[in-house]
Amino acid sequence: MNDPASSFEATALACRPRIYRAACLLLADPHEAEDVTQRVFVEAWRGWARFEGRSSAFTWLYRILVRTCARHRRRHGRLAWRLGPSEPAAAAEAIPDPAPGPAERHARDETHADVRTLLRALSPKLRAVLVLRYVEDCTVPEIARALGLPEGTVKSRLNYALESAARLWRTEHGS
Amino acid sequence: MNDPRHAIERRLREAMRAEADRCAADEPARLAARCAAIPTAAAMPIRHRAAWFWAAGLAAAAAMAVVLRPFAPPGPPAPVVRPVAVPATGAQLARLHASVPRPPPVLRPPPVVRPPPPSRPGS
Repeated sequence: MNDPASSFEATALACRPRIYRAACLLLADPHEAEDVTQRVFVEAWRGWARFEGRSSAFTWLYRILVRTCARHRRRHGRLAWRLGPSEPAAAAEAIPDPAPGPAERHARDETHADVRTLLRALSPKLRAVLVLRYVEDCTVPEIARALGLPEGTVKSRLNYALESAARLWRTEHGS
Repeated sequence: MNDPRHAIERRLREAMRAEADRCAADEPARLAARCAAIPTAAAMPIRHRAAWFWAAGLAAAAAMAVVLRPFAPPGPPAPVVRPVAVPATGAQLARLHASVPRPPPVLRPPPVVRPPPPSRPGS
């Protein structure tokens, strides 16, 4: 394991699927998520010698991911985010998946649309907290450590995100 | 336990996980290959990368030359190739002479032969 390439492969690259799906949720565009994920691992490899293992590799990579997403948004503007997914992504979504039945597909698509609408309505900072809390099941102290934030800030962001979700679903479905 | 906050939290968790699973299932295979190649590509010495760059450039130039060749402007016409002269043999020359039409020979009248003048008597 002394070889940096093999340790990088075993430790960092093993987190690739989790980083990719987090990127999808943060950017709401699979094509951009793919590019950003690759950039995250390029940056991670450059800084691999500095990784001391004090936090988990995923937490370390997630921090790089949040930074890379912020840089990506600055570079490409926020217009794309506000307008929704890019054309290829929208076209890919329009292709029906033949595997599930119509009812199941409808329910899944509704959930998919719900969560996408919600994520689009939230700021990137809130999204970063939500992904760690509800997808990765991190505790508040873990999120605070991962994002370098005070625990109070994490709690207030989670509260705000929950209120936004409640407001959105109440107005959309009247529930 | 009808806490609306818990209900919202549960719903949000389910929706986000479903979305995350969907994203993970749709992960393109090429991403794994691209990420796995990062340490190898980054470890490649600069001179090797430069060599690859030049090789790729040359290959692209060659491909462009092949593709654009049919569209090149027409060049000057090729020179007419004349057959090399071969010296004729004696028989060929004789045949050539025989084949050339000749004018009919000019017939001259026979020379007029005058009788010698008569000698004078007494000289």
